[in-house]
Amino acid sequence: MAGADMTLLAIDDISKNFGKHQALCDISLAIESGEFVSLLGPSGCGKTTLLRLIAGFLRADRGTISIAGEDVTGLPPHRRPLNTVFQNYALFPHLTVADNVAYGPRRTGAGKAEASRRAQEALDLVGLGEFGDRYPRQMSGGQQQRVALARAIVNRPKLLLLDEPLSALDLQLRKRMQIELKQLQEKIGIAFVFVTHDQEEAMAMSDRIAVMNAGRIEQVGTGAEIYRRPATRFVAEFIGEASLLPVQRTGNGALTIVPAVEASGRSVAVLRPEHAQIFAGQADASTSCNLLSMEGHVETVASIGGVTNIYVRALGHLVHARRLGLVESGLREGQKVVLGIDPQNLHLLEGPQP
Amino acid sequence: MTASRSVILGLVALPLVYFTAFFLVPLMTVFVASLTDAQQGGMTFSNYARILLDEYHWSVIAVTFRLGILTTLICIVLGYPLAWYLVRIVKWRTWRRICVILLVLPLFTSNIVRSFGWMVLLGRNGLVNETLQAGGLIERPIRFLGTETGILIGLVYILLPFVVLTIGNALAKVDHSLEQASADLGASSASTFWHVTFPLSIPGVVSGSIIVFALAVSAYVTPALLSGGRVTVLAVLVFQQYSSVFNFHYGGALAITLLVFTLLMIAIASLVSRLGAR
Repeated sequence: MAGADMTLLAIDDISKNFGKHQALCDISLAIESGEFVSLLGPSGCGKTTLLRLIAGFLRADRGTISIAGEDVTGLPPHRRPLNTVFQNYALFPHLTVADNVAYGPRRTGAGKAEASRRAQEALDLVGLGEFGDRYPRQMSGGQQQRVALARAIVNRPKLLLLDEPLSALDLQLRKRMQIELKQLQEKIGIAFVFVTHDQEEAMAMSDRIAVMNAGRIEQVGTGAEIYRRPATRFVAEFIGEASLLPVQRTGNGALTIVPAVEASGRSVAVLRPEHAQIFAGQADASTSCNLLSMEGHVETVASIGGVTNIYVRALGHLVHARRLGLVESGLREGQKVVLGIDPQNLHLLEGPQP
Repeated sequence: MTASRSVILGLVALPLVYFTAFFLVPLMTVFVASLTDAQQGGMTFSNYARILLDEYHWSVIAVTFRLGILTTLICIVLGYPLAWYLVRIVKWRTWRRICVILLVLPLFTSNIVRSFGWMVLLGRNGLVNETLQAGGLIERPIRFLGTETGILIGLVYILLPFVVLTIGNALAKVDHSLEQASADLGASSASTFWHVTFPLSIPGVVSGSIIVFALAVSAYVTPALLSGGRVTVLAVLVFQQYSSVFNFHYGGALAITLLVFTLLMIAIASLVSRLGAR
């Protein structure tokens, strides 16, 4: 982490209740200038509530929010130095695209000519320079999304909030927009707080990801960090795919996997599917003596194009393994196999897990 | 095939019959009568000539439309804040419902009763004059009855609910996220209202205005009761011709004149508002 003077957005101990429902509980998060941070979590986890608190559309019950060192907790939205890209874009239907984008500069004191010059610049930046005369309803979803983006960056805020901005687009367009958005963010150097429930999107774009669940931040880290070393069981299951195996240390400190019937109260090891090796017989597995091995049988083999998912039942656990390419010859459902796991690839969640 | 064809025929014919029976035939009856000579029975424009070439008729038309325009403007000015209050300020649902019921309830009572009520209130010794005198605002009672002001007060009171309902409906449809987007882009609440909320509520203002204007220029009961025979509007003239003089030809011409002028005014207003929206 850099020095405190680099912190652009500081969220301290924020809590928010809606009636009896606790939407956010003791949230703290610091975001640096120019950083791309995703708030990732299932629906109802509080990520959008947090975004609305930062924007000023909601007031926190407790805690403070500062932007560039200034406490903005009590400020209304129009006095906060940030802009928002709304989920439904919220483009003004009665204004042309150019007037939509020029709205921000106009309201913040720029003259008509200056405002339209800056609007044109912002529209050029998102590749819609020639569409200024159209009305939002005359544009496609992807184009509207870019207009919303241009409108939000035209005032050159230090911080941009994005509320699931790509969720309404189809898959192809979404993938393309992810790349464009990331490139744009790097080009203009604005810090992004990006709300999404799509972990691939978060992984592909973010410098850091804050994984949220039930009103709390479970873990903050780079995509690789939260994938390799999930802090909690929730993160392990929500990010990527994982088999959670209860483990026990033997006398000499080595790990052994505990059968499912004795699982309760044990530490849990997180096994990613790409790290589970499958051998057709015991002999193959013992060739590399460092592997933890478990005997089991193949329960399901499912090929989804580029990869094949293999589910093996061993010691009562259903272990997920993945292979690149189509199904390997010799792996059939019901077949007896040996699972081999390199202990170095296991991430341990210490302490009794529920 | 034949069954579906007859179904289609029915679907086309039913609305056609409906419109013909209830709208076209009555209108055409009046229109034909207005073009018929009262004595000889042939076709003539004399009924219209009698209206349009006469100064008195023009003054009646002027009074009618002056009242219509003023009623509409005052209704909007009074109705918009009320609609705003009901849709945007009131958070408690029961209270909003009570307000809407209070607003709509007078519409279910007779126009005559309400206009009579205003006759009592606006009289020389009525509540309005007494209150103003007691408050020291005026020395001698103001004459409301028999003046355009009196009629205006009555019309505004009776027609106000229509604008409140149409504007309220339009305001409720304005997407809240648009106002949030405006605030997010740096606009104060007042600025957001002028640049986002108000422009988006204009369809409600326009439709409310058309309803109120059309009802105000064609109103009979309120002007008849509150004018005391001193102020005449077109609808009163029409009523006299149909009910006392039994001249359906001249009366019909008056009615058609009212209709044409009303449509003209609405056309001009919508043209202006469309140009203004650009």
